Amino acid sequence: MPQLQFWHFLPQFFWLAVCFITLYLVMAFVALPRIGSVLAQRREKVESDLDAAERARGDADAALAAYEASLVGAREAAHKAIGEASHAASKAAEARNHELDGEIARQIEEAGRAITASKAQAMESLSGMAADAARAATAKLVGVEVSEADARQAVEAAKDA
Amino acid sequence: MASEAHGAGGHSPLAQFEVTKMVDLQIAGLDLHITNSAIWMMAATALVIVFTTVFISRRAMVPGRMQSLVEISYEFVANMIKDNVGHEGRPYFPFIFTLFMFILACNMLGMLPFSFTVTSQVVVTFGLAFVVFIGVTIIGFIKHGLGFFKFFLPHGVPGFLAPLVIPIEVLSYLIRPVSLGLRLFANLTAGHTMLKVFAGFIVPLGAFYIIPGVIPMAAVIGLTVLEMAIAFLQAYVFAVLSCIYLHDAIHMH
Repeated sequence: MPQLQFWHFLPQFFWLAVCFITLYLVMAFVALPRIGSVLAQRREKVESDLDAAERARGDADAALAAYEASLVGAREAAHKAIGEASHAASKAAEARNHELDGEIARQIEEAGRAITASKAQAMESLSGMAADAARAATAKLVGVEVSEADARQAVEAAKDA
Repeated sequence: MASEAHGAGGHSPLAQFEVTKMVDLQIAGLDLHITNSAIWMMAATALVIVFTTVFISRRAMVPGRMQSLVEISYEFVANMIKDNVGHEGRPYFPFIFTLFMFILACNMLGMLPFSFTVTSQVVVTFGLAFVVFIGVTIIGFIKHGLGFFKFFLPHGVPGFLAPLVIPIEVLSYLIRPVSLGLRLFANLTAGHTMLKVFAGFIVPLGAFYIIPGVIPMAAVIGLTVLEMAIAFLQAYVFAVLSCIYLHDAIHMH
């Protein structure tokens, strides 16, 4: 077996020691601290990013809550405004209705008075006409001339009966 | 002899494990030649350094493909330590990471055609295993002082069994680096030898009959996939066992 030739044991071991110690020193003092710092840096970055994301989410939640609160406030204000406006409108309408009712009642009363007056007048003229007709009929039938006052009196008496 | 076996295409399936001198180097009378093995170790080291420093240099908040891979390997080893050692294992993270990445890089580079598999070398795997073993034992004594010897007599064992239990525990403790090093060495050596053996059938069979040559070819493709999995798995096993030994040293069972 070529591995067991004794002559190369010492030089191989010497160069193994040289290589291994060199590699160890470079690893321990240069390479590994650098790799470790890169990994630590990434871990920190990820953690801080997560924190920032968490904070941003908190901010967003707060903004959303504020928005919703303002929305609720606005809705309430709108409701109140609508309520006030409709209340005022209905009050105004009621007032106008009331006014119109009064006007109509007055007009009805006036018309009623006019009707009564004209009815009285018609009755008056009817009595006159009836008296005239009674006089004319008496004159034609009996040939007696009845005075106007008598005729009127007789009509009135007949009307009252 | 080495160059003979290595030359002419290396017909022996074991020729791929041949260590050859590339650069002669003697320091204080010691032979410290730069061999092909050393060059592939350096390649693995460079690969891991480039992988873990270049691809992370953009420090992207959203990682690209390569940066993700770097981060995944970091977290993979970090979780391995957290699960197997616990919070006290944190200081040993760079060591376990280095161990895992180095073995993984060596194993993966070994999958390249014409490359050399460093982790198929006994010296390398036993070297790493003994570093882990000695280091873990030292940590155990630092944490518990001489109380670490109680590790060899598990809690609740009746006193009269101690003469039997203690030698078994000591032996099983001492055998750890051997099994650790041997496992990695044997897996990689066996796998690569098998690949070479099957690959060696392709051309001789295919030269005469097309169909039989296809069969070892298919086997080699399947084995290559398997070896890729083993390359990762053995690096993982080595690192996990190191973590478990570390856990024993820190928590005493």
